[in-house]
Amino acid sequence: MKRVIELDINGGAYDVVISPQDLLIDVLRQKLDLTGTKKGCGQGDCGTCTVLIDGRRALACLTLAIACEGRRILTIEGMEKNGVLHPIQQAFIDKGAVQCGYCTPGMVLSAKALLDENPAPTEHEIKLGISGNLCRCTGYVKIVDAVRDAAGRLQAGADSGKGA
Amino acid sequence: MSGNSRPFNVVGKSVPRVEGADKVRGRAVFTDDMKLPGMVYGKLKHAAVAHGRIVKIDTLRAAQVPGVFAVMTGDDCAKPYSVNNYKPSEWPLAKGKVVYYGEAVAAVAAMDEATAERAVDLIDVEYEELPVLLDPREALDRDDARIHEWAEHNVGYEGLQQFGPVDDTLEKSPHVVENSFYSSYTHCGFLEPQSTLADYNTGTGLLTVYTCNQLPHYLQQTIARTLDQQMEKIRVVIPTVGGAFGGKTEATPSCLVACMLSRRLGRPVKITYTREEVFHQNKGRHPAHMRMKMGFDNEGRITALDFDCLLDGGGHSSWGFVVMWFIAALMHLPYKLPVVRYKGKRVYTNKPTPGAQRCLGGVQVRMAFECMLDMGAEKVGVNPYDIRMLNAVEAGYKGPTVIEVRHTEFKKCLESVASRSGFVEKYGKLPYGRGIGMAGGHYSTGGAFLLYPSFRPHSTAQIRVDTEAGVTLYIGATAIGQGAMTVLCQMVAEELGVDYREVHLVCQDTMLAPMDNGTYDSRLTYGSGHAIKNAAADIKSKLFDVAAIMVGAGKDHLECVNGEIRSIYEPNRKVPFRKAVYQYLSSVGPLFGTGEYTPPQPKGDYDGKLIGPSPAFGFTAQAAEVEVDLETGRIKVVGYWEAGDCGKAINPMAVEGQVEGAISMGLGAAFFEEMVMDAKGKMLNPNFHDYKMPTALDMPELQTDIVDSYDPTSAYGNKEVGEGPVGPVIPAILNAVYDAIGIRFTEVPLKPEKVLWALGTIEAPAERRLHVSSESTYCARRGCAPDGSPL
Amino acid sequence: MSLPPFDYLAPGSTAELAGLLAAHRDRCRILAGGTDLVNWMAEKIYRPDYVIDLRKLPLAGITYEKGRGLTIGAAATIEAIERSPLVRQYYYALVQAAGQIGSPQIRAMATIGGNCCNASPCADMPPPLVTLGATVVLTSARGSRELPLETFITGNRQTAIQPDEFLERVHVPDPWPNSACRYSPFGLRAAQEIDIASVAVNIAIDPATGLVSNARIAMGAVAPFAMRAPGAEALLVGKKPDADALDGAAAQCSRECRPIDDLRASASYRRHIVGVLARRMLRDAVAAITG
Repeated sequence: MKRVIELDINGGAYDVVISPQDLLIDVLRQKLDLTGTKKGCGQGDCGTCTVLIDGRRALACLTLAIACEGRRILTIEGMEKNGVLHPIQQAFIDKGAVQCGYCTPGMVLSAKALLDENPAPTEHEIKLGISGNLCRCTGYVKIVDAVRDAAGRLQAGADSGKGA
Repeated sequence: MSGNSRPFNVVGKSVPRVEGADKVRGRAVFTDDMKLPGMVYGKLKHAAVAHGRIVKIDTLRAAQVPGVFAVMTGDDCAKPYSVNNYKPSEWPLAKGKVVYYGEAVAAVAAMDEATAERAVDLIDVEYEELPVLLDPREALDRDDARIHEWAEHNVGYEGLQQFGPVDDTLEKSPHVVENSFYSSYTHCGFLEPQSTLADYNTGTGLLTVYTCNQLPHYLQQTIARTLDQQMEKIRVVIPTVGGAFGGKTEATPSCLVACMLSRRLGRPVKITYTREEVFHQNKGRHPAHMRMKMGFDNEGRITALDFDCLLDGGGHSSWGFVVMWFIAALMHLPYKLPVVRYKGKRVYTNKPTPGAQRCLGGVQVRMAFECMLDMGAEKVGVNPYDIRMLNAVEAGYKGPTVIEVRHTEFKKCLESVASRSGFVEKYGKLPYGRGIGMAGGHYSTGGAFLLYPSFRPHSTAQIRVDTEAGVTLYIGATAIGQGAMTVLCQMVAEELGVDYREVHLVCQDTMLAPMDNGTYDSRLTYGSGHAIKNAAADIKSKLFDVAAIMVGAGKDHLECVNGEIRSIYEPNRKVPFRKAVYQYLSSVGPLFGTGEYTPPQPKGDYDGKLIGPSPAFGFTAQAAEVEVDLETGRIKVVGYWEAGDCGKAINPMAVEGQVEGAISMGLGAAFFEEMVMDAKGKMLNPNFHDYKMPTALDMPELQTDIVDSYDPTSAYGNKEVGEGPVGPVIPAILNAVYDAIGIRFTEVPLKPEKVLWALGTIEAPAERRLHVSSESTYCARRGCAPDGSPL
Repeated sequence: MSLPPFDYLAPGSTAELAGLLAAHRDRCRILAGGTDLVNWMAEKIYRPDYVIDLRKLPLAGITYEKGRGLTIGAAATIEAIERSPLVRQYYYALVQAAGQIGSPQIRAMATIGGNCCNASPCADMPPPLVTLGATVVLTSARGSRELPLETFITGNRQTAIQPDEFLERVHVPDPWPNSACRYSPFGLRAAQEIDIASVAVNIAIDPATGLVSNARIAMGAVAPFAMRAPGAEALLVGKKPDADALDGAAAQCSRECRPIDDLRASASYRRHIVGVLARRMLRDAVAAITG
């Protein structure tokens, strides 16, 4: 039985017609043209489709869209503000953490969840934080570098904000 | 000797990727992200048996589902296809019979994916089941159960290469070692499932195909031939590719089916594989059953090699021909090999077909060869580092084949890895359970010969310069995530003195970009580099005629640097690049430059000579230190070192990223990865929870090193780096494990239970034949008993 | 893969939930984290008419009360359990187990209720819960009942839950005095693994005598459900927890488990690993008590 629901995505309200069995990943990609969230396996094994729902990690391929009503969804498209990249995104570029780019959106969202909870993670904590995101291109080395770098940038930004 | 290394402005710098921003923003467009007006979705029906004759396919119920536009079966397909059209056996939809579980037998196009899936479920297929052959050794004995009618004893290809008197030389060699090896059935593991969006325009007759494929021009030819579509009416466009690793070099059945459906319906059709379909499509690595016999003189020089290689070819032909001969070629480096006999065979089995996974042929050869070297070292009484240094090739080396090493810094790689890892100090001296191993490797930088007979240039570049668009490079090269776009822009920027971020790139589009052999065999940067250099030289030769007058210096004394054209001798005599361009356009006309490159074509007279020779080779050496948990058998990599000779690194950060990724693929194959079939040929793990690729927590710390090197035959001194580093990983681990516990494993993946079986801690299942051998010299060398206790 | 169609309901109270279950029974499935359910529906293993979402219900609490023990709402996420200072302080094995499940993303979505009700033989939460004497509270329109988790899980993906019941909360009694509990799984990779074997131990030492006063051991992935090792436990109770006793108990665990051969590991290897894990966890637990 189709119905119209309102989804809060990246701070914007989207009205969308869905069936209860529609998965968030498909609604994002096909109905809302938010194709930044990628589908790697559709089974929850690769982390490629990672988004944040109410600030917590979620796999869009295992989430019913209808169950997201009233929840705040953050996708990769919502990481930038008015065209300015989030420090995590900038760090990924600067540190060479992007190769084919397919794991990148999910990886960035996982990194955001990690740094939101733990602003100064150790190397092990970074690896643990991204352990649910598979990457076949990078061997994870430069992704870990980028997250560490992003943590530094965010700390510096937070510190400098204190004086304002 | 590092050779000439002229000062570069942007080549050699670790600049960020040109496409990086799009990718981190989620704006890079991959094939499945695309939508066209009127687009419908296709889904495939797959064989539920591994070998069977198709008796009946009933599509009536499927066709009647509301929202279904078309249903197709093998009856709609005119021709089979294969790589190089050699022994074509693969159909867009299987015709007559299926030869592996998961092969596509029917297709549906519908309004949406859910409808298409429902319709696919309503297609009934009846099979007459045939014997399922899962082991190539068994398949050889079953001529009564041919997978393909024309393949006697299920042999697809067979090859023999012989240089020198092998048996005689081995007999006379003071030291001979012999062993057999098995490298496993792995998948490329790219995260982006294959997807095709085919758009046939009934008005113009043009078929545009958007798909993630590494060889767009080759795909264009395949579509033309297989679907009887006029070549000039096909346009292949490659969007951003989410990893390929050799597994996206061929047309998938889904690609051809999407084209067929689009032609029938006159509207765009998209087919995207599920992860399970990706596994069934396979085109990963060929499992190899290998036997090697290697002779050494008293100093440790290799005297001769006798090598039998049986490749498990799965259901279809794919790249099997190339892999078989590539293995033959890859034996000959990075060590001197004077006398050799190679007997290769690629046999069909009822399994998803392997293809050309990254470092094709290299992983199999290196696994066996590097272990044999260690075995030889032990027999001769030298250490594994010394035996490698003794046998390592040097620049100018020519072996018995047409393969010639015009440039190498392989010895530097070995030295770097040995010194940074402390190899010689540690080997044989670490406590029982801890060990260190090393391995070398190399890879070709593009083959000398094309995939198919042709005299066309392998790489072509066209540059257009004007004041409106700036500098635009048209090149057929295809980026698959390796960083190609950025290095191409860096090279153009270097030549023309512009900012690399301002170079427009038209690539991976068969209509707009010139013909290119494609992204495989690590050929892209080297081949494109020459083509770009030549195209830029063409531009400069025209532009400098005008600039010379403006600058007041001789045409031959000009260079492009930092947005200016200036005199090499008096840099103050200069003119802005744009101004010179404007002048040229106004006075002379449009400014275009063309360049091309074809590697030198060696001459030889033996079977398989076309496969293997390369204008340049990248080299690598690696060392692994491991700790074996003797209670659980789990192996922990406590140190990993690599040193690579890729010539001049155009972009060192990108080079490091490629090396790190290659090592992670090798580690996955060493410890975790294999596709497993049940007795009836159904894959048990076509998913990412049971086909286990390394996660971030599984990676050891990697210490890589780009050795100082410059290949003078290359446009910018550069050579390959994307594939070679996969090869040494498995043998570095196997050699390290041998040093740790005295057990020489000769199969992968090296799962913990296998370690305990070999140690005798638990009993291996009766039917399980584990490739392993224990060397009695280990105990003497280490001064301990087989279980590690002191003597 | 698309899911089969269903009606989606999100009741606002446990009474409403109970009413829906009473009305629809076998034709509905409960949605908590969805990490198992969505996959099963995609694979067409389940085709419920109704999917009932717990999101509006107050079932995610984690509370501890001395004397009463720990109460975990069925919809508490694995991540919340792993991060709970209360759980860490009193029931460390549960933190160890929670930290091993799937991936950070799965842990943020999956729930203890799902892990217990789906009853995979490889599930990580049941073994330590069993050693801690956990009980589950099952509620329906007919009322609530409480049973030991050990009795609740009856087989491979089979539980004693009735079609009109839902698991409301998990209850873990106060730890034994002077005790410690530990858990270790074992798999191939360091993350995103499905265990090939796991062992949980819960052991108490009488401070007066230095002898083991209580011991429970449960093993995962080596039987259709998390199974106890009564023979091993008997070897410990009343004994001095020295190396010989612990080794002997571990060896007995190995003998008692019932592993199978499958794609992931051979039975003999699983049996061996159980022994290794049991020994290591027993040592860890004893060390934690004796300091």
